[in-house]
Amino acid sequence: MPKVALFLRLFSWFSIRHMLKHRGRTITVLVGIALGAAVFTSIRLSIHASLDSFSKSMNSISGRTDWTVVRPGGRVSDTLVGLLLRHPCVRAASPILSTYVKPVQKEAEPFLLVGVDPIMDRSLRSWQIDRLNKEDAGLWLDLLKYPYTMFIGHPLSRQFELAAGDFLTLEHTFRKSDFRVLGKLAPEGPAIVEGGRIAITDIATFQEFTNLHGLIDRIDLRLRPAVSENDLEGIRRLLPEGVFLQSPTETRKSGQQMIQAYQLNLSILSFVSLFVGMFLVYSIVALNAASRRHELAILRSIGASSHLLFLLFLSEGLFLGVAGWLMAIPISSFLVKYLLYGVSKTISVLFVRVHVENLVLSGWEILLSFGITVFISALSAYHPARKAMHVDPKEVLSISRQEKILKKSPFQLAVIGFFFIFFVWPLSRLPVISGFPLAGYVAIFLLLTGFSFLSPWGLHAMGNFFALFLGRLGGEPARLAGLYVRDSGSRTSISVGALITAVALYTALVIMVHSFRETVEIWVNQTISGDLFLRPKMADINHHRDPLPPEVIRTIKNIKAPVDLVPYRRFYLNYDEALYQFEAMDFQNFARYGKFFWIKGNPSQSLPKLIEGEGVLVSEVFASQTGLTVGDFYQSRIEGAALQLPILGVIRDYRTQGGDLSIILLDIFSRK
Amino acid sequence: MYPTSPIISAKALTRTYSPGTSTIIGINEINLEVFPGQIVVLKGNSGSGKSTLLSLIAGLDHPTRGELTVANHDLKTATPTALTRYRRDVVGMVFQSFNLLPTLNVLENVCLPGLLAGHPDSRVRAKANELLEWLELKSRLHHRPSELSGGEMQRTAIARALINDPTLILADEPTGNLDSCNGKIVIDLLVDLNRHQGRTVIIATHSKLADPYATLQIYLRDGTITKKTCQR
Repeated sequence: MPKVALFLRLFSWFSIRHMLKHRGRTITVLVGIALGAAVFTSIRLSIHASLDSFSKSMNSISGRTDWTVVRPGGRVSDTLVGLLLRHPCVRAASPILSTYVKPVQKEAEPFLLVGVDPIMDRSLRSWQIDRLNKEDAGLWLDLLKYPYTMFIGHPLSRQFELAAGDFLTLEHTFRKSDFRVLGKLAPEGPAIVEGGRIAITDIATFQEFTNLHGLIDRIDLRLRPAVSENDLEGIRRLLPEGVFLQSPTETRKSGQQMIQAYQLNLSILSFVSLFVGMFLVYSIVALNAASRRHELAILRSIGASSHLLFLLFLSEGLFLGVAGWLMAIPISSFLVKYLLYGVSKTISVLFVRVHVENLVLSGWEILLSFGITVFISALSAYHPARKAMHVDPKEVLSISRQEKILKKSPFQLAVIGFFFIFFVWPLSRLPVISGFPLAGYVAIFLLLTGFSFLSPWGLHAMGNFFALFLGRLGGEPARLAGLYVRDSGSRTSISVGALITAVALYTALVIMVHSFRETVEIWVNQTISGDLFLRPKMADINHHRDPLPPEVIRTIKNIKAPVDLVPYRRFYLNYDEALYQFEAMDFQNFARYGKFFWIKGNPSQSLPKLIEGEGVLVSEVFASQTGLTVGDFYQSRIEGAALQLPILGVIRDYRTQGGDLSIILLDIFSRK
Repeated sequence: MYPTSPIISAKALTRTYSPGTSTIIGINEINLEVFPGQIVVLKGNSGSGKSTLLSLIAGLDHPTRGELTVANHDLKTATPTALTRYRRDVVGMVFQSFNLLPTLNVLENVCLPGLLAGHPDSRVRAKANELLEWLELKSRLHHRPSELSGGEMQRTAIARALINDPTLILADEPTGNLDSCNGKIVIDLLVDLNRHQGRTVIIATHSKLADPYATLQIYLRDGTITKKTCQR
C-alpha cells in the first residue's frame, strides 16, 4: 500500500502537474478521446437497444409457445388447429395472423395488427387490457361478438387520440375498413411489441379484412411437459406436406444474428474514431517522454527505478483514457438520442423491423466502452513509456538533451512488411467462421502492419533521392532539407499517421459514395427498366406476403396495348438459421430489360435453362453463407411445393432488405 | 589519519564510448583510492574525464574495463536494480545545473529521494525540514525551482543530496552556475558536511574555491590521472 501511495503521489507531482501546466494540449487530447469514445459508446448502445427491443418483442410475441407450425413462403390452413388440439401431447394451440396496417385518415407510420382467437390465445400469451371497473372484464367477449373491433396499445391511443368507442379506418392490400376501439392494452407482455404500436383483433375479423379466409400465418403450440422426440414426430405426421414444426427461437436467432453482424461492422467502423484518440494519446505521451527526458534522468539519478518511470507514463495514458471516457458520458447522452433513431431505422430497413422507444443502458456495453477506451489509451502510451524507462541516468550530467537513437535496418523492417502483405490476399479469401469474418479482419490488420513496416524503408529511399535531387537543384540547404525528411521519420511519424488516417477516411468515404452510385446504377440495370411498377400496398413492410389482388392481375392481363409484363413474387425464407429472399419471375421478359453480374457460371449456357425453369441463380452472399455454389442443388419448400434445382450461377446482388441472402429462381412460378 | 580501508577503490578503470565506428576514451586505466572522510577535488580541462569518473562513482554509468568498488559495492558487475538502490542509498549528488524537478516545490524535491527509498513520510518530512532550516530555505518550502535564485536552487539540491544520509557526496561543478558569493557558500556547505559530519566529498570543478579544503587533488588530462596531491 505505501508503494501505491508513493506512486500516486509521484504521479500527481510529476504527471498531473505537468498536464495542468499544459492545459490546452491536455484538453485537446481529452476532447479527442471523449469524441471517439462517445461515438463508439453511442453506436454500441443504439444497436444494443435495437437488439434488446427485437429480442423482447420476439419473446413477448412467442409467449409460452414451445413450437410453431408454419408453411415456408405461405400460410397454414386453420383446419389444422382442431386436428392438432386432438393430439394428446398438445396442451394448447393458437392460430395467429399478423400484418402491418395503416390508418387511412391519419398521416402515420403503419402499425402491427394481430389477429388471434382471444380464448385460445390466453394459454400462450397474457394479453391484458386496461380495466377501469369490473364490468370491463367482459370486453374480451366483445372482440368475439362484434366484428371489426380491436384493442390498441397505449402509444397508438395517444398518437391517434383514440378512446373506447372511437373508430379508426385501417387500410390493407385489399380493402379499407372501420375498426371500433374496445379499449387499451395494458403495456405488458405482448402489448409492448413494436414499442406498443400494436392492435389486436379477432382472427375472423382479420381473415375477412385481409381476404385470408381459412388461412392463418402460423399456429403456436404449447405442449404438455416431458414431450419426447417420438411425440413430436407424431405431431409432424399430422401436418400436411410443406407444413413444418419450427422452434420459435429460430426466427429470433436469425434476426439477432443479422443485427449482431450489423453491430460488429458498425462497431469496427466506429472504432476508427477511437483511433484518432489513440494517435492523440500517443502524441502527447511521446512528446512528454521526449521533452522531459532530462527530468527522467534526474529521477533515475536520485533512485527512481526504470519500472517506475514506465508506470508513470503508462498511467498518463490510462489517466487520459479514463478522463476522456468520463468526458464522453455527456457527449454520448447527447449523441445517442440521434443515433438511436437512425440506427433502429437502418436496421428496420435493411434487416428486421425493430421499434425502439427507449434507450436501454447496458452495463456490459458501458463496461466494454470503458475497457476499450482505457485499453487503447494505455496501449498508445506503452511505446513512449518504454522509451521513457530506457532513459540513461547518465544524461543527468549533460545540460543539453542527448537522445540515444537506436537505428534498426529499414530494409529488415521492409522484409517483414512484405512478409505480412504476402498473406493478405490468401487470408481475405478464407471463408467466414460462425458468421464472423475473422480472416478478413486479420488480412486488413496485416495489410496495415505490412505497410507500416515498409514505410521506414520508403522514407529512407525517398529521403536519399530527395536529398540528391534537391541538392542539385537548390544547393546545400536544399540537400539538408531533403535529409531532414529522411531523418525525422520517428518524430513526424505520428503526425503523418494521423494525417494518413484522415486522408484514408476521406478516400474511403469517396470510394463508398462512388461505389454506392455504381451499385445503384448496376441495381437499376439489374432490375427491369420498367415504365410502371405495380405492387401491393405496404409490400415491403409485410415481406411481400400478399400478392396483388386477382382483379388487378386480370386488368393487367387484359391490357390491349403492346406491353411486356414481368410477373414477380418474393418469399422470405430460412436456410438453416439464416434469412434469405426467394424471388421468382418471368425471366424471358426480364432478360430483355435487365442483366446480372455473373461471378460464377456460364451465362450463355445457363440462360436458356433458367428461362425453362431448370435451375436457379444464387447471390454471392447466399453462396458464401451456405457454401452452395454452381453445380450444387438448391432444395426448399415454398407454399407446399418441393423444389430441387441445380444452381446455374452465382451473381452479385446488392439488396439486403428483409434478409441478408438473396436467391433468384427464374420462371418457375409463372409456369406453374 | 584515515581508516585503512578505502571507500572508493578503482583499478585500471576505463570507460570508452563508441559512437559509430570511432572510439572515444572517457577515462583510461585509472587507479584510485579514496578514504572515508576525505575531500577530493577533481581538476582538469573540459573533456579531461572528470565527469566521466564522477558518473562512474555515482553509479550513473558502467565501466568498460577495470574494477570499481564504492562502499563495498562492486559497480562493475552491479545489475541495473542494484545500481538504482546504490544511487538512492549510498550517494548524494549535486550538479552544476541543480537538476531540480520543475513541477515539484522545494520541500517535495528534497523529500523525493527519501520517499523513493521507502522511508516513512513523516520521517522524511521532518528530516527535509531540518535540512532546509539548516540551509536557510525555511521560507522557501513551497516555492517551485523557477521561483528560486541560483544559490537557493543549489542549496535545495544539497538538501536533496543529504536526505538519505549518504556516505558519499558527489558534486559536479557545483559552483559553475553561481556567482562567487553563492559559490563560496556552497563550497563552505560541502566542507562543513565533511568536517562536521564526516562525509566523504568528491568535487569535480574548474574553480579554485575548493582547493584550500581538498585533502586530495587529482589532476586529469585526456582521461588519465596526471597528478595527485595529498594535503593534510
